[in-house]
Amino acid sequence: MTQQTQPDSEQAAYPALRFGVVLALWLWAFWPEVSRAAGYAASDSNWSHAWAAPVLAGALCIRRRVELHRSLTRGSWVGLLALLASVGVFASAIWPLGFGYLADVGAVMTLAAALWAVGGRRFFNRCSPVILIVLLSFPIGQRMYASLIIRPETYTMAASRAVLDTIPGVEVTLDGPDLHFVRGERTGTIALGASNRGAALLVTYAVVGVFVAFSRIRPLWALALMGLAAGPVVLAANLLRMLTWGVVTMYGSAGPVSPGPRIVASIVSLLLAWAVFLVIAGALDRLDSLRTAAQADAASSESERDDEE
Amino acid sequence: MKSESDRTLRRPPAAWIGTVVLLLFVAILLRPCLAALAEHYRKEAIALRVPLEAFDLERLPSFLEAPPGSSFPVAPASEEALGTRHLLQRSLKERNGRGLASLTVAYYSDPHDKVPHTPDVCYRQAGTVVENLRTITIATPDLGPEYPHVQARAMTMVQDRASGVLVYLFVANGDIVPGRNQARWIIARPGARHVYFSKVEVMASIGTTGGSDSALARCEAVIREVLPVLIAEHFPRREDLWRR
Repeated sequence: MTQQTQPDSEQAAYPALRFGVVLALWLWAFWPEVSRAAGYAASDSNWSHAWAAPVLAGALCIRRRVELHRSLTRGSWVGLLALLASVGVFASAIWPLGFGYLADVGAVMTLAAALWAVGGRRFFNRCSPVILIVLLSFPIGQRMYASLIIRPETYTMAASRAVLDTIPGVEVTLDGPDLHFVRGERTGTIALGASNRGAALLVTYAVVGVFVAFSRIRPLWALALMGLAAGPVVLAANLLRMLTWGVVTMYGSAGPVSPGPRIVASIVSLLLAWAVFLVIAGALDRLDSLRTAAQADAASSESERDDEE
Repeated sequence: MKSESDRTLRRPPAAWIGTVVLLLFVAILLRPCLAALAEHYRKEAIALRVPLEAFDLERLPSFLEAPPGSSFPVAPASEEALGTRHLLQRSLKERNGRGLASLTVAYYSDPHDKVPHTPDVCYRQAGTVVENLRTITIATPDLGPEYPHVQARAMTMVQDRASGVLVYLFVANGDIVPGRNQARWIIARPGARHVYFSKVEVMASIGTTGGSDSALARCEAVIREVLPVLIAEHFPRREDLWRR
């Protein structure tokens, strides 16, 4: 196994200082976008994971610090050109287009390109999960989000009705976006008045997946497989959220608009998403270690054969 | 004495200096420059040539006015919900048949107006289940040669056991597009002095007078007959939109 050496403090100090200056300038330059995202995170639970984003990004950086330091170069002119292009995207999103989300994407592109320009391409590659987490923390506008979730929300509500209706003694009907239930003498509506009730926290589940997938250095094929699994896991977690909400509403004593069922459902579904991503990552790691061991065996038996010859 | 590698480590790389300069430019100069450009090229509202309330249904060869409150799956939206007082809402009836349709045209011209939600998004909030959503092409010979056919979004929807077909499109600064984002691109283009956009929406119920194909054909016919009148008589002329 390769020995991972820690960068010595003086070697790390100058690059860290330069990156600190770049990050501070980026924050200054894009403070309106960052503060708007923070405001969204405070008011919309769909985007509250943005508060955890700095912690997650910092944790990823710490876990990858050796690889980040190793991949550091004295910068890239291509990265600088990418930075110029990103500033162009940001500027055109502000004027003449006036597309808020494109401006946010432009701001994140600028951060990515600045890291590329300062650290080089390999450093940028190592930073890409951090950039992805930052990107997923910027809120998609409500109108755009509403148009993107039409299908997942429709299918989730239909599946929730079908599953909850199989519970003995419970009758569940779907009327537009509303799930109504009758349980004995009790009637009510699940997730009454909640916006995007059938497709919430989708981005949060995805952020959990990104963090788990990139929490250690994994081969590209494993990351690709985790990427393929991410969609179904996110949708399954969303369905579980709705089912939990339904069960807690029907069997609990909370009022029709109490936040209790929503909070319980969010926690349960986030834990499920985290656990499933961990299981998938663990299985892929096991597969990778078996593959590595098989390759090592093949190499050693080949060298033994060479020695015998 | 410091070694050569130490000096290399300490010397700021050129790419880093370039990055810092660019970020300083964004932080200090970019936003004021963009604000100045936006102010210089600020767009203005433009009034309808003829108010929508004065739309003459006699101009439609295949439809005439029907009594309001016909059996459509979704109630017409209010001025408040649509965010404009320039609104045309009529119930139509086929001249040679019993088929009904409802027409809604909303006109917006304030440069700060946002292109509204499309029906596939906002009707769901009102309890409508969207069963099918697709882009269709409608022949519009009266709009040729510029628009011998137009694209529109068609959806089949169900509410309270009633089902219907809804077809909508946008007219933005004279261009006809099926989607909200396309309309946003058009009104964002710099150069035009004035800006307007309009959502044209036609609904027909399924069931009483044929299936969904019949309802869709009725919606297409309304679009085919209404659009030329709106463009020729009501919406601003293209040449009036540009700076002179």
